[in-house]
Amino acid sequence: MRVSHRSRFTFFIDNMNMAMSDLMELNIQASSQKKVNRPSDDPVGMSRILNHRDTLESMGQYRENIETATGWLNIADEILLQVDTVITRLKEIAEQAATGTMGQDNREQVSYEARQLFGQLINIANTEYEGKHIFGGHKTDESSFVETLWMTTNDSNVAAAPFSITGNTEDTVLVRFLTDGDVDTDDLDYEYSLDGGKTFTQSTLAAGTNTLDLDGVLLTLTNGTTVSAHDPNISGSTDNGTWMWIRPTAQYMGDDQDSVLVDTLGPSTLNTAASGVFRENVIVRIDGDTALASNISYSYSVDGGVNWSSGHTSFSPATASSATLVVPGGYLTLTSNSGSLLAQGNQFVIRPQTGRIMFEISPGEEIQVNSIGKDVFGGIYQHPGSNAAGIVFGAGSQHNLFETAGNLVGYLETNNQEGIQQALENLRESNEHILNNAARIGARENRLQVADSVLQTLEYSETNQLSRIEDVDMTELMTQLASQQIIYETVLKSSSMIMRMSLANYI
Amino acid sequence: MPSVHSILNIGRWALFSSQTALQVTGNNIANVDTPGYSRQAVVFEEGISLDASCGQIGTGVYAKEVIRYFNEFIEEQYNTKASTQERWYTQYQALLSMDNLFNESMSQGINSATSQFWADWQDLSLRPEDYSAREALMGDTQNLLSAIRSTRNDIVRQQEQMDDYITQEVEEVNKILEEIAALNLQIQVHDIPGQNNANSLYDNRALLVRELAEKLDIDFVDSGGGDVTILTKAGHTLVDGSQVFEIKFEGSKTMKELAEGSTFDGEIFFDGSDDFEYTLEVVTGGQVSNASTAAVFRVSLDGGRTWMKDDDGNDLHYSARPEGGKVSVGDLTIWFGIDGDPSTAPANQLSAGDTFTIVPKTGLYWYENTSTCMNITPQIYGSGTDNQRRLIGGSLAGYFNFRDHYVGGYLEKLDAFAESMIWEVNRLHSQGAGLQNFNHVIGTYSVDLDNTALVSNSTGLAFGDKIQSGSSMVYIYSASTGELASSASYGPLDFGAAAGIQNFDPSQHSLEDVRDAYNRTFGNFLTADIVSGRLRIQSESGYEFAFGTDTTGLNAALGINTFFDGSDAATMGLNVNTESDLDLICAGHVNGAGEANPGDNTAALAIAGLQYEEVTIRTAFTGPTSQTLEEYFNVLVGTVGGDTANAEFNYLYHKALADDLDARQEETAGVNLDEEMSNLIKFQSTYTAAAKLIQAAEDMLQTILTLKS
Repeated sequence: MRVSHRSRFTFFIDNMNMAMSDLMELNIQASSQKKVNRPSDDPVGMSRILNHRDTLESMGQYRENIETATGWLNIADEILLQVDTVITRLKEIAEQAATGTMGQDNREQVSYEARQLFGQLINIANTEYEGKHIFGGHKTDESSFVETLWMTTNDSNVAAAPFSITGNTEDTVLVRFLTDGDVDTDDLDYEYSLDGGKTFTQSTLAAGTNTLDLDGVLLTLTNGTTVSAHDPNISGSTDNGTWMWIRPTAQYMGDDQDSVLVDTLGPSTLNTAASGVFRENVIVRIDGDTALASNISYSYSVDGGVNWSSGHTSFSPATASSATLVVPGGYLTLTSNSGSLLAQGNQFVIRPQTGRIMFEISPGEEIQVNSIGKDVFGGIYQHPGSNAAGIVFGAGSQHNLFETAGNLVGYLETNNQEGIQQALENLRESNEHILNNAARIGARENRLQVADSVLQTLEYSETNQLSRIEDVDMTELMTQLASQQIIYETVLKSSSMIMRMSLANYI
Repeated sequence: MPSVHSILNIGRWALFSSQTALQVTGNNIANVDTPGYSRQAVVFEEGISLDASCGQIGTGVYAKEVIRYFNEFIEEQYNTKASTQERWYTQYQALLSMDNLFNESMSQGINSATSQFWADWQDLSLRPEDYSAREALMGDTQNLLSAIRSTRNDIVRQQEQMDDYITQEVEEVNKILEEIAALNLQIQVHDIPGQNNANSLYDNRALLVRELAEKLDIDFVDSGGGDVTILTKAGHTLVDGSQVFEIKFEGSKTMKELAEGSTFDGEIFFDGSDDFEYTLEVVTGGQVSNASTAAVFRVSLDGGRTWMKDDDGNDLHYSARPEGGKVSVGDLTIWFGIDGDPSTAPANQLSAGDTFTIVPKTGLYWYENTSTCMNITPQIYGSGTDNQRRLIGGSLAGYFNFRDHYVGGYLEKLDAFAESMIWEVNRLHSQGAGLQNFNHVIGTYSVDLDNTALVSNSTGLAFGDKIQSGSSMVYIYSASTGELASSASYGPLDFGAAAGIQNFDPSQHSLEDVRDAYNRTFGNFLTADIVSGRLRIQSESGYEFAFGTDTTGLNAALGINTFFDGSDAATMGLNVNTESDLDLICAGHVNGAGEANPGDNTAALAIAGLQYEEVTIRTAFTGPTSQTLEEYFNVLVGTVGGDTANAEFNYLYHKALADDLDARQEETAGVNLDEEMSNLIKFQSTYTAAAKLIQAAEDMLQTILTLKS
């Protein structure tokens, strides 16, 4: 083979460059400690590195979410324990006061403590975490409970009819009617006491009016409510005319999630109702013109119509007048109204009232961190859109803590032993209810711990995998460096040797 | 009869020959490092022999010709390989800068900014009413936007740089073509084969051809002497003897090719620019009009190999419209007019099979004569193979491929990433509620035609094609109490005067219908109107409004209650309303009680959930894919790295082959100093011997002359 002068030198330079560039590559790896320094070093590896980094980053975020959730739940847990302590003290008081051996004066004495404990309960229920009320549903910016007045009565006629109270009083007001009759129809004499029944003031509710003036407190009854007269010769309130105690209670101001609305999009006249526990809005779309009686094919979306889950058919058996469509969280019932036809494209938005605050603790997994105060503590509540408040869990419910405690205060202040006995019974129920809630929160805390340790393990394995793709193996690198050094030096040595050779040296 | 004079003559010729040989050897030594120089040698030929009494006697030697050692066969192969090598080298060098641009190995970029963006929504879900969480989200969103924007700008800058390089290269190519033609002419004059070889002219020409082959792929057809033809591999003649054909780098063009029998008398027009060529083929003949009977065409981005498809895999069909109803196709808006007058609709019908090509970018054209040109801009099909009827080699192909196929593809994907991000976030955000209600809102997306169905591709609405049927919930509150203004002050929009609530029908409802729906349904509480193609809603005094579930996507498409603005990486920004008022970031939603509460994090959770949501991302060139946004971007980074690594591999591979061929040419044509050195000694001794011969002849003459005296 002829070797030309030019190609000799081209070879030398090429070989030296090649050996040197391999060395430089190793040098970069040594300085960054990474195998993959630019996407072209390992294109698939780089994509995977970025994916792993994203995952790691979001795991960090999930752990932060878990930390915040733990904060919420820990404080809820602690608070419910405090509530338990207060209830225990209330039970002690009630137990003492429920016995016949305690007189009116003693009851009055313990009533002061009971009223303070009641106030304390409201304070506790209004606890904030990071400036947010944890028992108010989504209404985190305002107090979940405010102290207000409510009425307890021994007369089922009065209890059944709505009433309203305005004004304020420091002590329980005891009201008794002195004549039989109907509100608004008859002139009704009544007497009221602001000092627990020691002294009474008499007054008359004239026909045509329905508001009792109780020295700073106005009690408005429903027209037509039948009341009966109190017989002063019989002691106690049992079967002895209409008695009313205007006593403290707590009104829930937060969010509830009791009802679900359904909006109809499109010209459908059908009546709609949804039942179930819905976390978010669910949209149902009818996919073909059909009658209620036949199988209705439909799709639903839980993300505002972005993604649709299609190919569902109605729940059988359907009747000519109603159909049930199963959707995530519950079902939608359609009943006939001015016809029973559905058109393709009719849509129904199931719109639940929401109060849960959910945190995402791992992809797709959410946990509730707050509570709906009224479902824990009871009290009274006025639903949005309704015009009057009512007792949470319904009148006569035994686990309504605020009502129980309010009644206890009322009975203690008015020296009503029977009432105190009932309140004591209810306190036990309420305590049970609170402890159930505490247990529920405790379970969530456990779930957080588990989720956190799972994340920790995943984080560890992600870091490991990332390192395996990305990080350089030091031993291997050092060996490669050493061998590359030898190559480079050999190339230099041999090139310089050949470079000097020429026939001209010998002639 | 041999004479002393003939001996002298032999000596003289021998001297001349050796001297010539020495001169050629000297020239070889002197040109040992001259690029393009081929080793030369003298061909000696024996002088004619003369009949003599003793038989034929030779008359010495003469230097017949100076030849050059050069392997035409290897040269041809080398040039082909060099074209390919140069193409990959150019691509590799250019891609290295892309590799750098997308490198997040050590630094922060779009990937980390996206991660942070999702983390911020998570943070907002933890503290939905917290202004610092909102502030952080805004700040980090700005980071993400500027990362996307600056990446895009850098890419575009690279593209523009390519245009500069291409301009220079084209100039250079034309100059080389001229020079080769001039050399051909000179060779024709000077070269007499076997006698007067124009060696240096050949060397010069070979060198120029090598230079040319580095810039584009060529075939070299040698018919001897100056009679050579140089063509591109695709068959476009560049040089024919002394005649030159020019190539030009020119702005966007449209071309039409009518089916047999078609009487269409119009031209195609377009606005916008793109890195791909659009081929339109009429599938259903008809008039150019705004009516539903208009002709229908389909579009291909790779010269008719594959056609643009919708998400279901069917060909996308577009109607042929006049200027008043321009259709949006990919990045262009297209319409038909008549030659010289874009605003007049053509009178004759389009026929099925009529084909139009739009090159909405600068391209390379080969000029057969001053008026006829052909498009030779390199083109890579969707399958990754080259269009063989265009340039496929040389640095020009490298620059064009980088500019159009690689970078064009990255830009498309970056745009698709931005577009999906904008749409997915806005779709959820527009159904959420912020910390305050609206008393005035104006959409950020505008339409060109108020009275055309919003989903039609003539409206110019960026996300018009995403709108579905359904309706949109609106809630109206009393400004003083914050409660719902009345039991009738909320509900879905009613899109028709007919009884009952009519849904939005994408196939017929226009922006005007949306405006009318607001006024029809909630006219007592608010007024909707259209301001320069955008929807504006203002509440009557004493009322405020908020938005709820929207199954149509209208709010997101019109830019009402949205988070982002824009429709691709270049235009992506924040909705100005949201940007200027942190309260308008939607973390919550209007719940079943018609309330939007401060502790509600429903929307924030939903948007944060997008991080792991597989969304449909489509580009016109690659069709739809279903991936999470982050994965999509990470794959793009991998693609850039893969393209770079692939270009490097191809470059090194073809370089090895080209180097080998070059070495083989060098084996033949290269100068070896040792060889020349020995030649030097050889011819020097020949010279000395010839001189001795002359001296001997002279001695003989002297001897004879002394005889006489």
